[in-house]
Amino acid sequence: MLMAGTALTAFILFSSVYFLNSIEKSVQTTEGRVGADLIVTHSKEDVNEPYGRHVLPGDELLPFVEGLEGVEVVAPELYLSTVSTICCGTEGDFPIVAFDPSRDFTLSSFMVKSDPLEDGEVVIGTKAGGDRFLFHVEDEVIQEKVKLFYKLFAVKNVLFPTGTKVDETIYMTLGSAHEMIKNKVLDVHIQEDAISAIFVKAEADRVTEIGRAITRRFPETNVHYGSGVKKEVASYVRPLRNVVYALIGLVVVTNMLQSITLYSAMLTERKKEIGMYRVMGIPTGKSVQLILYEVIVVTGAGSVIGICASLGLLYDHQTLLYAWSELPLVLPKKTDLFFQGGITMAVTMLISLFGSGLCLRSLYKQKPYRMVREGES
Amino acid sequence: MIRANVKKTYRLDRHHVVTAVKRADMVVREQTFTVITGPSGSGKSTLLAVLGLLEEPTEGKVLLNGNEVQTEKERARVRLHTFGFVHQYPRLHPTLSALDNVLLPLALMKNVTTEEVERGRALLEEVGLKERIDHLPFQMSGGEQRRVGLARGLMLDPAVLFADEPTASLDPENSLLIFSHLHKWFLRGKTVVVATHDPIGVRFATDVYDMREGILTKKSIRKSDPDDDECKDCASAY
Ligand SMILES: Nc1ncnc2c1ncn2[C@@H]1O[C@H](COP(=O)(O)OP(=O)(O)OP(=O)(O)O)[C@@H](O)[C@H]1O
Ligand SMILES: [Mg+2]
Repeated sequence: MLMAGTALTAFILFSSVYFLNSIEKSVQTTEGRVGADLIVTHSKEDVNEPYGRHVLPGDELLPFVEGLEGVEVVAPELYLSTVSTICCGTEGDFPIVAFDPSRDFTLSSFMVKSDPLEDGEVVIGTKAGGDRFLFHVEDEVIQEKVKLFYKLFAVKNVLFPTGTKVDETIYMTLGSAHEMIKNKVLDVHIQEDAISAIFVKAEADRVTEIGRAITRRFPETNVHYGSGVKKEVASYVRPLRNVVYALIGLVVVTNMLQSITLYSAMLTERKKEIGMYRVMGIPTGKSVQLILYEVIVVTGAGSVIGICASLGLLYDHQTLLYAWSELPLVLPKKTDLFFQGGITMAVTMLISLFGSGLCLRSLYKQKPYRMVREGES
Repeated sequence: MIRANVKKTYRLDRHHVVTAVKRADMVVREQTFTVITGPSGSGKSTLLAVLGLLEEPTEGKVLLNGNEVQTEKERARVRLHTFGFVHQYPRLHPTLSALDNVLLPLALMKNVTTEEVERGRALLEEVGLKERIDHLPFQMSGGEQRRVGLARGLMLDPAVLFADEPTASLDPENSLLIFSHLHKWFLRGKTVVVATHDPIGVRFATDVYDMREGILTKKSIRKSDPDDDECKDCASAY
């Protein structure tokens, strides 16, 4: 009974924490992606999918933008080509985009693993076969290879789903791209310094100024301001986050009350036994230890059961969760899960200890003889 | 030796006071088997609680070897090291085996040695529970649980053993068994104080007291004789 109660608490608590963490992470990554304060593309390209043939002169544009006051990071991306291939068991047309891992601040927040991408390696979106590896990248992706432009690339990393074109894209490093351009292995002609888009992070109050400076100097560019999107996402997610927080609070409070009732029931049942130890003259501290020890064992087991159940359920229904939340949910990593599990367990056990402590206290206020005697006739 | 001259009342509320023990003047000498008889509600349990340093008398004093035990902490120490208690309900730990229950009070205080485990076993064997050593309380009958409680009370090797209705709601055979164990303890040089309305108990007694409506009277000092079938003191007991 007690164990079931604790298991339930741990279940709800863990699910909430898990969910909250996912949302939190999603917000972060979404903010990261649209976190570009400025996105610069060729005016004939779609800002969200600059996958056309119109490119910008990277040689001039990049140093210019970097030189503008208030600019913090400039991340270039180059669309190479869309290839029909089989990647990681998935067949389809995948846009191939090159980016600069050392300057990137948009994609990296979506990557499942944090190690940097090297030349000759690629990162794949979920719809480019990445979904198969999403939850076990650690062991499997490394061995996977994909042939692009007659060259084998190692699939190094996977992007969490974003709900955008990114999901279908295969990303490689600009270094790899430049080498291929130099060796003329691509099926299209691209200038070596070409750039499809740049993502700019800048000081908030200088963004429009920077944008204007860019379009003035490069009339062929189109500047898209990202901060609006960022706010929008945040306003969409924040209420959800608050709901989850409220839920956790509610769970903790209800559980506190529930555990107090449970413990008082359990301890009333064992009141006379505890009273017996006191009659025997065993110091209060020792018998309290006994009871608390038992509480810890029972609730520990209970919370582990709860967490495992919750984990099993959530793990099995991740895709459902995506569908339901319609958010680019980023699911926590193994270490995070471990950490969250630990926290959940600690909270559940603290609640239990608090509940039982409260009941014990009222019990020990009674005289030992009264404790064994009560209810006896 | 315990000398008591006490009165014990319980205050129910501002206007109602229950007198559980009106007047009790008694001496429990060392190495005696004292039996306190009397009808239900006459104050036997209360007197035993006062003697066992569980309850403080409203009036009068309980002297242990001539000294009053002042603080609750000291009383607990006396209860732990000198006294033992056996109750009508043994109140065993529900998820521990018979043996573990017997060892629990000791285990709460210190690390239990193998000799002590052996002693626990021996005590359980002595009360006829050799086969039940590893059983859980719910797997045992009321009488068996009671004997586990007795073994637990004896585990800490008390000089004075208090037993409150140790045979209540037991059949005559089991009652006799419990009393003969208490008697064995007495024969080993310990002091035993029993409150009971079981007439069989009187046969084992050296000192017999009777409690009526809170007033304790001394009935007799006799020779403890379990085989005394025509025990004349027994007749008057409840
Ligand atoms: N804590 C208490 N508060 C109020 N009254 C009490 C309390 N303890 C005992 N009494 C009263 O004191 C009287 C004596 O009780 P006690 O338990 O000592 O009797 P007893 O002789 O042991 O009875 P029995 O043979 O039924 O066990 C009873 O009337 C009982 O109601
Ligand atoms: Mg009684």
